[in-house]
Amino acid sequence: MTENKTLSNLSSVFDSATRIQIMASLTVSPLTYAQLKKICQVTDGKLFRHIDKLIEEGFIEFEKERNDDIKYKRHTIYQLTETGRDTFQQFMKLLMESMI
Amino acid sequence: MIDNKEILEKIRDAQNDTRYILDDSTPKKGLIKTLTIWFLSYLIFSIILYFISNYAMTSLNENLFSLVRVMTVILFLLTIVIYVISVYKIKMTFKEKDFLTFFTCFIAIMAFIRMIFPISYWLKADFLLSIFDSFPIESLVVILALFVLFNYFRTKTILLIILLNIVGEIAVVYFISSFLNSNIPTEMMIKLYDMSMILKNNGGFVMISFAFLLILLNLKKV
Repeated sequence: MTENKTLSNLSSVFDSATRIQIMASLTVSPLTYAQLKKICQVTDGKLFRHIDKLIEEGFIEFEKERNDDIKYKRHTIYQLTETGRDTFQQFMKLLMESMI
Repeated sequence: MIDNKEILEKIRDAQNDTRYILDDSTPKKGLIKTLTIWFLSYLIFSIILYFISNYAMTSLNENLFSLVRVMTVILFLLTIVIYVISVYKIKMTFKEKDFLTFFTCFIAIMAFIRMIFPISYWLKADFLLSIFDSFPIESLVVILALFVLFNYFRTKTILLIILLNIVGEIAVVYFISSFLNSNIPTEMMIKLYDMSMILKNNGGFVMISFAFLLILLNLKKV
């Protein structure tokens, strides 16, 4: 329970499994909204809410990019910020330590 | 409350899913760029050689014929070099790079087919020339190359280009053989024979097929 408290204290962001999934997948590569939805398998409403929370906390950022598949359309690419990456690494470290 | 083991599993799953989704996608930006550069070099060199060899035919200058032979070998070797440099210089994903590295064998074969004529002249290898003359071997290589591209893009549009190639190959073989077997060829037969020979001897199958393919890829239909 002590470890869980420490993990929770790191950030309220890690209280949600979906937000952890989003952060974990973004450590691999920047992703589009559609790709995140495919990975997290949640509704649009839920995903938007979690993404908003992560942006609000400064853990992820986004940029609009030209879509190669559909002309004249742009898609949003989400990626981890430096803070997001560092915090996630700390979270992983604490998680691993708690497993020992 | 999710326990820590479960969280760790979720993280690993999410990361594995991400890798799978990224690999599942078909990156094509770098691939199109590389193929376009190679295609343009192949097209320009073919046009140059077509006009020079036509000029050589009319002037019947032996030096010009030698020049055409040397230029054919140099220019088509250059298409391979241009392709390889493009693969290494153009920014692309590992998936595209791996595919294009493998595709080099088709680029090399297509260039070699164009070099058969001058090589057979120098090596006195008539068997090479007889292969080249009897069958539109280039079309066969293009069909194989298109099948490989179809395997990468998994789009039916490429199958249509393959079908066009098969029809074209059958037509060329038919027009050439009917002209050669005819004692008194009609004007139409002569025209079709000439067209078939131009198509066969000047990389027509490669140029038409790849022009179609690149147009379709750029129109985002593939």
